[in-house]
Amino acid sequence: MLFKKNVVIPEYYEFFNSVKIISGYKALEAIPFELSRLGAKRPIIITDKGVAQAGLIKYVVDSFGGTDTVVGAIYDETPQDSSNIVVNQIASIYRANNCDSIIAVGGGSAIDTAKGVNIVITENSDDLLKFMGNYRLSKPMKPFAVIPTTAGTGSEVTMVAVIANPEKNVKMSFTSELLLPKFTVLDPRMTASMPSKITAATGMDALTHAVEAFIGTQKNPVSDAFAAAAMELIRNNIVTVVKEGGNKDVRLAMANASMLAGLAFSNSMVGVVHATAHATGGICHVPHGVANSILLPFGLEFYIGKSPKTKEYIESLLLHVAGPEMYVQTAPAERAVKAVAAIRSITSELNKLCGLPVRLSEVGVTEDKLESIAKSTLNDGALSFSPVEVSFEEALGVIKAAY
Amino acid sequence: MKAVSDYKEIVPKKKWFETIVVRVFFFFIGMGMQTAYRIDPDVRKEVDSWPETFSFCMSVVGGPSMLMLKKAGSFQYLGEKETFYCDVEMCFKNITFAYLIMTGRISVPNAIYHNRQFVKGSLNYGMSIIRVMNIVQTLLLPNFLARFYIKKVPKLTLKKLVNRAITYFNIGYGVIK
Amino acid sequence: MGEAKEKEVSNVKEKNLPEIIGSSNKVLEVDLTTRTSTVYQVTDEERRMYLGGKGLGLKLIYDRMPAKIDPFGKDNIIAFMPGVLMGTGAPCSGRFSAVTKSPLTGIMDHASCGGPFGMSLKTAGWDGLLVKGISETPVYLVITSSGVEFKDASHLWGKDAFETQDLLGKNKNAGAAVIGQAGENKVLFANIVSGKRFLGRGGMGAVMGSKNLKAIYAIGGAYKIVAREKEKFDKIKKLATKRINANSVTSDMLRKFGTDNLVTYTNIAGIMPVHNFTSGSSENAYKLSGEYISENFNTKHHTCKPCTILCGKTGKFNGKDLSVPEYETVGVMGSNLEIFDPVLIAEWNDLCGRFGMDTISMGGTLAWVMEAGEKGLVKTNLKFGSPEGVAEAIEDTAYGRGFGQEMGKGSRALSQKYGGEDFAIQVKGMEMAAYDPRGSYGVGLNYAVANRGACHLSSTVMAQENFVHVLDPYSTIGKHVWVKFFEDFYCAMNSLHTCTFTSFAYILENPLTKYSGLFYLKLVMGYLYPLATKIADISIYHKFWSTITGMKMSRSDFLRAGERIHILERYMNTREGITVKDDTLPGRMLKEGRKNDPKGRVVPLEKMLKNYYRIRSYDENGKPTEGIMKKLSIAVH
Repeated sequence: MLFKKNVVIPEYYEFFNSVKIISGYKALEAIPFELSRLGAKRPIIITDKGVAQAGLIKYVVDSFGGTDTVVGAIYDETPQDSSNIVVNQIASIYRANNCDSIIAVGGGSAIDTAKGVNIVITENSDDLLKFMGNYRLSKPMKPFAVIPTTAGTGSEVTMVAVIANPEKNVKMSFTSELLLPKFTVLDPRMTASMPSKITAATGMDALTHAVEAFIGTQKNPVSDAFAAAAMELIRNNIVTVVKEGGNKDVRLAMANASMLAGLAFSNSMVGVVHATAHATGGICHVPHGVANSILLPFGLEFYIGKSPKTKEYIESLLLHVAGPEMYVQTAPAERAVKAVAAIRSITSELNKLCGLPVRLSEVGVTEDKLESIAKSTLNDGALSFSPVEVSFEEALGVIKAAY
Repeated sequence: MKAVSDYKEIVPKKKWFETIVVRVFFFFIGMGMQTAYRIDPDVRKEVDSWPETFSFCMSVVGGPSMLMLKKAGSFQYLGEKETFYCDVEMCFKNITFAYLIMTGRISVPNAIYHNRQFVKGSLNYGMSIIRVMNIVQTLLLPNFLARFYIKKVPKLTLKKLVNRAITYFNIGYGVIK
Repeated sequence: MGEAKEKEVSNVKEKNLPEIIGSSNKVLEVDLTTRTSTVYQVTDEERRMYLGGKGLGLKLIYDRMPAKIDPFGKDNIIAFMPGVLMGTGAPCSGRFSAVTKSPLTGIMDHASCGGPFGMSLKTAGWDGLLVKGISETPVYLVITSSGVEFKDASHLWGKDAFETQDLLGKNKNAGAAVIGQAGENKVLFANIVSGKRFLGRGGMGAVMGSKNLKAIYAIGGAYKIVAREKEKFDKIKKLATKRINANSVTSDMLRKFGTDNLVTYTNIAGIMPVHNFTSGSSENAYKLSGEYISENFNTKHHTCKPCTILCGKTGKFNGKDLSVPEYETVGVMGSNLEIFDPVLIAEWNDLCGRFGMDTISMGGTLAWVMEAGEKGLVKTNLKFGSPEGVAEAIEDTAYGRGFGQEMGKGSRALSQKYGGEDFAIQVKGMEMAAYDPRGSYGVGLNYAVANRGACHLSSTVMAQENFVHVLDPYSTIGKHVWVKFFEDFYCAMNSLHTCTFTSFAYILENPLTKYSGLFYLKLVMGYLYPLATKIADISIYHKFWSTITGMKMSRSDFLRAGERIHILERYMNTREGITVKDDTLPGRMLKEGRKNDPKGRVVPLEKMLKNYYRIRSYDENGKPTEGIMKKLSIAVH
């Protein structure tokens, strides 16, 4: 049998997504109409310094031209790690300027901050601690739109927001379908100016999302379809996008891939790669995309040796990460190993093109930190969704292999 | 044809059997945790890493619940108590889900994947709590049964057997108490 | 170090001092108007019927003070009464009672305090001190074994309570009971300060202030108090100490974290007041818990003397050594105002202490003002969640400046003037302590029927309902019986007089209770409550009393005495005009559910009240029937 049964029906699964996706050329110009459809005329734009300096806000503001929609305020000082202090500050700006909707422009932190602001505004309480956890929100939220400027996090379609509380020293995590934006706009202009190294890292981040979603514990037919499409788009475009950053077709393809991967993983959850990547990021401040890209092949290798069922999924993964030709040419027994090799060949090509690191030692992780990374891995929420139980020694093994 | 007045409100049956089973299991797990904190070094290590006065609740929406409280050097099982605040609450969406989990038809990790439960409060301690639950279940159940509940069952040792005996004695004492 | 010092003191005593065996039974009566004093000899009959402390104080006032007098008038008597345990070295016996007619509530008021004044009074040979009349000029009293001296207090007038005590002198055998500026200005909830502990509730400080009495300075150390049956007494003492040290509540939670350890329990149970009792719990409450405070503010013991439990604490707040606020204070001045900063609360607590004001009533009044401001009934800059203006409001209240003058009359007077009576959280004029009765029905009944107003110490059923978890807080079954039992029991205990917290240890560490565990206890206490009230082990208390005095006292005699004291106080209150209409709760507790309670439950008071009246033998107007008065041999006059 050449093709294994790729689509399996799990004994139980849930899938939810309600985000309207607007993708294409001049897609930003659809925003005023979409906002007015939601009864909003005065959005606050939440973004970060990088985005503002790149001049991307101009595109968004310009799109309102000729309509009666005005921008209530632009907040462009969102820090790298969103915190409740910033959230409350933005909320007071929102109130002071009589805004009626929220547009987040940027990467993960701007989007998470905007989600936090939405909670504060809607619940009219500056105490986010009360809403920590899942399903704690009940009131309908303010109109909220997301315009991603990195093609990687997929936050535009996830229902999670993580906001730090420096006072209590915790990372507050919120999950609710109400946090989903009403619509998201994927416009190639917004990602066109990204430098090649970041493009590569965010692209690999999206690939990691798709791969982990495809082998994840909550894998289901719906998420599989999104993950497969995402992987195919990334496989065909990631090298080109790094080579020719100005190519709008490729940029749009990657933005879509990232969004599709986000859809897939937010419903089927991630595993050991993300757990170790979070820990590495937390302790050694390695950017999330880079850490994911380094750890992905090693995480998969760990799975192959541990669980026959996951190995089977990794075998099917070859079809998506390397294409059908490679899949049929490879003997079933070697497919899993080949799939990992295919991912490695992508990363090494990116390494040659723009210097995307392939080892943890290249990104400033020192050997004495490895144990504390492994320890922190065990406390990461993503690990509970790993298809196999991971012990401290095993987590350390994965990290040491990637060192 | 039926008249409009023939259409009446239908009140579904109470799932009393499931409720009793879940209640009993909650009691076992609660007493198990309380005892495990005293005798199992791994559990002690996990619980000690939580802040003082940390409270953790496992409940079923509209059904039974159990409350654990870390206070004054002990990890107390406070029984089924209405809680207005706790640091972490793990809530099963339906009594049937809880019943299936407690009778080993769905493993706890699976229940988490399947979204059959949700968490209120900080997720930071979630992993730690799940590890404690796993250890407690290996304490309570013989290995061939524990398989149904957790991903990886540790090897049986004499210490484990002794601890299991102590746990059961405490639970038994808790029943008479 | 403290222990060594205590030993030294007792060594000195043992060598030289004359002994009082049992109790001296001498009560000093002082008239400030005429500046004279007399000595009253308490009879054995009175001692047996009213035990001492609160009970005896009430009885003496009942015999001397007519009804319906002005609390600020010359007829009002304030009684300071140490009990028979004081000075004998029994555990946690460093407490004394005071009884008077309260200006805040207009009815009888009893308060208990662990300051040094009680011990000094007792070791000066006095079993009580009654003060009546009004002095024309500020005066302070010096009490010695030979009697009383009247001294000019003009140099003390206007000084705060802690300063006044320093100025009075630092004799190690002496103790003072003083008032701060609030008492001088007759703030209706001013209190009396002794050491750093307080005769807190009901405005006793204002009574002293109205008499122009700034301070009472007792110089003790003249006598040594010994029990009549010394061997038996030592045995009981040993057992009592053992139980206190074995009990986890007294030896662990209270000793390590003070009363603030309750925050964890009340927050979980949803009975921690938030936003003037609109909600019952908060995510931020952990900052007020004893565990958090002791971890962050380097707390040390600072307690009544002698004490075995050691729940009182001081800590370093912002570089200053301040008392750690008790649970009630962090509840009503913290979460109830939505302030979750222990430093601020400690500072306000210290401020109230210096001025000599009751923190519970102050907090309740502040909360009322904040809500009334929110609703536009009064103009104020006080806002929930904002510490701005609170310290100034406290100061204004103490000095009676501006709006502070009206705040000094309490939330009942304010709400009668401006409206908003439903959210004035008070009963009979006294502001409610930090336990929300909607999550603890027994406490609801307790607040409604407690003699001095919304008092949480009249019967502490919240402990059974929400801390020890033996009673269902949302059930009315048997609550009337428990409230009555604990009222009788605490009346008797306050007449001994010893610390309320000892009841955790003495009752729960009884082998029968200790090893029978929760399930059985729940069953017995929840449903077989008549039986449970019969077998609860309170033997230590009455054995203490009988070994010290040498008079026989059985369990039922002891509880009967408690009942007698309670009924006498109630009868005196009905003379002042208390009827069934006053036995109620604020509108908020009866009409509005807590915000965070999805079921929106309120206190089902009527049902419990009816049962309570029946077992208390009150008539439909809430007056004790003649039958019960006769049965308890209380003379009607």
